[in-house]
Amino acid sequence: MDYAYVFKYIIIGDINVGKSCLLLQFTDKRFQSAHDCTIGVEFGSRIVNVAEKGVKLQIWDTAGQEQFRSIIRSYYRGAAGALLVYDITKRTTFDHLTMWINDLRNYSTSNMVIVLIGNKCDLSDRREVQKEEGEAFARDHGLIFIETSAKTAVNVEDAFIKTAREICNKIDDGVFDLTNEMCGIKIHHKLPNENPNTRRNSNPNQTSGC
Amino acid sequence: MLNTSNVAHSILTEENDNYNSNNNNNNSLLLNDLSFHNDDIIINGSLHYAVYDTTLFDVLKVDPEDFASQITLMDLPVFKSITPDELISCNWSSKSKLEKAFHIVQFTRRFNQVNFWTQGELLRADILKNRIEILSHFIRVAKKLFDFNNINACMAVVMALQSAPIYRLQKTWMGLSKRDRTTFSNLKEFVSSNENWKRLRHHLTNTKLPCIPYLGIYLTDIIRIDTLHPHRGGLETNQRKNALNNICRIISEFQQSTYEFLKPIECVQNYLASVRYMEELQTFVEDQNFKQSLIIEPDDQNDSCSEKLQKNLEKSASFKIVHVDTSSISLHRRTLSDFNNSNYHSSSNKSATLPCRTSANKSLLDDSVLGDPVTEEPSSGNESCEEVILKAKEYIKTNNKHHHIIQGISLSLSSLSMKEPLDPYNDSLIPSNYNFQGSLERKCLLKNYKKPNITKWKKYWVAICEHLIFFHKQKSFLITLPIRLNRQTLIKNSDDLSIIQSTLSNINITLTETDRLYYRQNPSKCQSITDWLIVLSQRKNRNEIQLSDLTKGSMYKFKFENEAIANIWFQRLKEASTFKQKNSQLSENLIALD
Repeated sequence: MDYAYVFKYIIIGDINVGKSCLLLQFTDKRFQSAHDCTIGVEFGSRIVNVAEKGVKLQIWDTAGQEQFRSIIRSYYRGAAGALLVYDITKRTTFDHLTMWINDLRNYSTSNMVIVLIGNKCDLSDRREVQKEEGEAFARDHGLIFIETSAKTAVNVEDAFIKTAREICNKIDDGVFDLTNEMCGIKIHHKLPNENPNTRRNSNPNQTSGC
Repeated sequence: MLNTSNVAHSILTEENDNYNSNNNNNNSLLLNDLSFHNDDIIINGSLHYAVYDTTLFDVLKVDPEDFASQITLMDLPVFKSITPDELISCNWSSKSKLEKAFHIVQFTRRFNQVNFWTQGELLRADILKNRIEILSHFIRVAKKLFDFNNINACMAVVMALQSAPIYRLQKTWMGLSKRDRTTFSNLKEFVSSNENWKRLRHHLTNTKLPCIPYLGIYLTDIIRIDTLHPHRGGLETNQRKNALNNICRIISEFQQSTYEFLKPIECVQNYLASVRYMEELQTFVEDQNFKQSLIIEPDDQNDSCSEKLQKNLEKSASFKIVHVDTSSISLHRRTLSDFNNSNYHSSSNKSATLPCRTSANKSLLDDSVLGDPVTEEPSSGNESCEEVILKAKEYIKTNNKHHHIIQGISLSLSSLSMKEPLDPYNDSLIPSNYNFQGSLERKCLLKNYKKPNITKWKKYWVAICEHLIFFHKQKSFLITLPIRLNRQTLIKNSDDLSIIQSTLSNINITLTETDRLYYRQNPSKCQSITDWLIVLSQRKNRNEIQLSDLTKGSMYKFKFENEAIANIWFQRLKEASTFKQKNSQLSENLIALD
């Protein structure tokens, strides 16, 4: 499937909030079923259709590398979108959001689109953070807010696509300097054998990149 | 603060001593220099790596290949000790990481240590030319690490150069040669996380031993497998088992690596090991690094304010110095004693008796005369001393009656909320607002990361007040002569201000160096020791305390006559270095002064 842009995302948040889970749910439809899980180069990316354009989302999952702190911070810089995740059943993960936000604001490019994700909404009986609190936090910090369940796939697509749409809007507004690779957006160059007329008009269906 | 951590000797262990006693060749000399009992011998670097001291180790003097080889030799045993159980546990980030994944934690520590060392070395070079040289040097270190197939450390260096504080140093990057730039951009491509670390994965699957891989990739893969095939008690699914075993097998293959062709270089390893890295301080160090980066290369737009701030601080510093000058001259008018008259004499003559004061900043030997807070970070909350003094000065300006600057200092001191004064010598002569004071010998080992040209023990009267330490120099008169003692008592005047009233008494005494009167009444230097590293050393019948200011690269040693005194001082200095300042309370007090 063809695409016009590559957007780079990062997923951050405390340990065990379900970062990897979200990514797997989004990029790998086989998440629920068992498979051989060969982790190849396409792992963590998927092409979606946003604003009538194909966009390849390339997502950097930092799970497991939390101890390599300097690496995570340098990830921020080259990303166009960030998914900041907390666990609605664990208050502390919500309390740490301010720290994460400050970190992002300090080390990312100023145009980064941030979506706040309250994950594990399938476990609402064990809820410790109310939806209103998440909404209020997002409003105060100018973030997009969404509650998801990586387990049941509720709103997972939405989280990634809303972010992509926002980035597309910003591109249209001319906010990004697309010549700078560090903004986390790459214009996809057409392959030589490709017909430029069909490229834009192709009808991308949302299939897994894997 | 890791960036500057190599300033300080890490707390040196007995090992150094043991090593020294076994080696009486040239090597022992360099290790002596490294050791705590360093006597500051300054030798020219004629011997290869012989001049070695963590405090002023010049990274440019060590060949990149030697750094790379020694880092590799240090990484290898740690990497080899990682067990499959630790990998499968998925516990290397959890609270129980030290029990369940000790060696993984140690190995990531190695990564972070190299990473912060690189950042620190670059950031402490405040001259652009040096910085460019160091950057180029580290690019070569990274290239050599790549050549040795130590991908872990190669990545640590490359990521350090890509970290926020270093990445933004545009002028430095601009200064690189084309060759270095090409090398770096290749390395950068190599470690790029694009397409799920495509290039790195390709390299790791096709490489030959020896190789120390970047562990992070495998850790993320394990977490993914764990997410895909969670272990919910009972028997593990085959998919999970196979996938995890597969990763463990890959790691254990890499663990067969040997680097016999690399020769250990003891002093380089000692240096690298002495770079302090504390996980707990990491966030703090990262912030410090970024601030330091803004100082050495301010942003054109956003950070012009930080530059301004810096300039303002400098202004206030010179202001303070002037103020000390005045004080030394004006003081005598107030006090009525022979000694002070003689002091007056010399100062009014502007003779050489007080040359250091009048020639301002750097003159006080290794001291910078209250100038140290200049580089204090504006937001760090450490400027209270400066603030207090400035405000006191302002106060004095507006009150012509009390234009004695030194009183300004004592005023400001009295405005600080004091702890119980504790004076080991029970000297009633001192109008004490100090928490603790006494005489000691001091030597400067390092100043702004540089070793002073002349360094020797000097006697000081030192007082601790909250987080501040005050240094009183020796008086300039001959101490063996009987003098008229100037007895001073502290009274309170109607304005509720502490002033010094002097009464004269004709006692003939001979002062010894533990007497308060042996030293000048007014401090020549005041320093905040907040967050300094205080280390006590009582070996070989020496009673010394080493004080290291890791942010500014200063290091001092205090010497005491006996163990008991050294112990007391150690406690007190420790307290002062961790003293919590109450800024709000402080300013209230200042208002109350008016």
